[in-house]
Amino acid sequence: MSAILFALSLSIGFLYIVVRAIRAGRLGPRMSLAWLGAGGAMLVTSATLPLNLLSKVAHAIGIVYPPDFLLVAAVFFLAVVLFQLSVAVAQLSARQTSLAQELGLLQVTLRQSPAIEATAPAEPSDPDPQARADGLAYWPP
Amino acid sequence: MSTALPNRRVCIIIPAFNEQDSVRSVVGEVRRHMPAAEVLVIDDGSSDATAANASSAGATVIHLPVNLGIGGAVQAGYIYALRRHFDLAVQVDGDGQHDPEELTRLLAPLLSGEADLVIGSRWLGRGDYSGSRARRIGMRILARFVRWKTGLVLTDPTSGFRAVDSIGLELFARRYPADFPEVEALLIANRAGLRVVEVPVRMRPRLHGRSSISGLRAAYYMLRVSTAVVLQPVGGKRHR
Repeated sequence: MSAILFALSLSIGFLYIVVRAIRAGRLGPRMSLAWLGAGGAMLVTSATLPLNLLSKVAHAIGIVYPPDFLLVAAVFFLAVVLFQLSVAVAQLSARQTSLAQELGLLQVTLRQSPAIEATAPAEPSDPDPQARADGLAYWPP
Repeated sequence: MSTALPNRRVCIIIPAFNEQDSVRSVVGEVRRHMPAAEVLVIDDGSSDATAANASSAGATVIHLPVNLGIGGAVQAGYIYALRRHFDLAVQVDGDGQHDPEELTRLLAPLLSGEADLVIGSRWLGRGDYSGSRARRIGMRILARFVRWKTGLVLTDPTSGFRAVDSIGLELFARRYPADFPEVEALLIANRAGLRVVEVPVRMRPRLHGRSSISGLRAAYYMLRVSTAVVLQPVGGKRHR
C-alpha cells in the first residue's frame, strides 16, 4: 500500500509542477500537452497498481517482465520529446539567423540613408581593438 | 587589369570572421580589379577589427551581431544584393585564397549567358595550387557524389569562389544551407534548374590564419556533406 501511495504522491507532485509551469507560461503549447499526458499516464499507472493493469497490458503485448514495459514506454516517450525539441531548436536557429541577417541589413540601410547620414556623426573608428579581442567590447557600438 | 561591366551591377560578397589581417588587402585587390562593383564584406560576428579594416578599405560592411557561420553570412550578402537589384553576385573568401584577378574569368560565362552559376575550380590546370593529398581525395569523393546525384561533372564542388546571375542570386537569397554550404548549394541550384559550369581559376594559400576544416573536423565535414548530398531530393522545383 505504501508503494502505491509513494507512486501516487510522486505523480501528483509532478502534475502539480507541470500545471504550474503551464499557468506561468513557461511551457509552450506543444510541450504542455506532452508533459500533461506524461503526468496523466503516471497518475493512472500509479492509481491502477492494485488492479494489476500494468502486468495485464505487458503480458498482452508479449512482455514477460512488466517493469520492462514501463521502461520501453518511457524510452519511447523521451525519444519523441527529444526529437520534438531538436526540431524546435532547428526552427529557432533558422529564425535567429534570419533576425541577425535582418539586423545587419537594417544597420547598413540606416548608415546609408542620406537623412541619417546628415545628422549622424561619421562611422566610429575602432576605439579599443584589444578590448574587443578579449570579448570586453563590441564594435560598432 | 580591371573589368568594365556595362549595364551590369556586380556585388562582390566577402564573408569574413576574424580576418582583420587579410580583409583589408582582399578588399583593396577586389576594388582594384573591379572598380565598378560594390564590395560587400559580411562581418560574421568577428571579435577583432575585421569590420573596421574592411570599412576603411572602402567596402560596405554588414555587421552580423552573432556568428552565423559561413552559410548565414553569405546568404545575408545575397539578400542585400537582391534587395539592391544587383544583376550579378560573386562570392570571394575573406582569407585571401581567391585571387581577384580571376574575377573576369569567373564572370565571363554569366555575361555571355552560358550559365547561371559559375564555380571557380582550382583543379583545372590553372595555377599551382595542390593542397594536401587527403583534401584532394576528399574533393574527388564529393565530386563523385555530386555527379551521381545531379549528373554534373565538376572537379571542385567545394570551391567557395563562385558567381551567380540574377536567377541564382534570387534563389540563394531565399534558400542557402547553414553550414558547409558549398556542395549543398550546388544541389539546390541544380534542382532549381540553374545551369552550372566550372572555369579554371588560380587559388593562393591563405594570407593569414589556418583553415577551419582540418583533422577531426575534416572527417565531420565529409560525413555531414555526404549525408546532405545523399538526402537532398532530386528534380522537382524548377526556378528558371
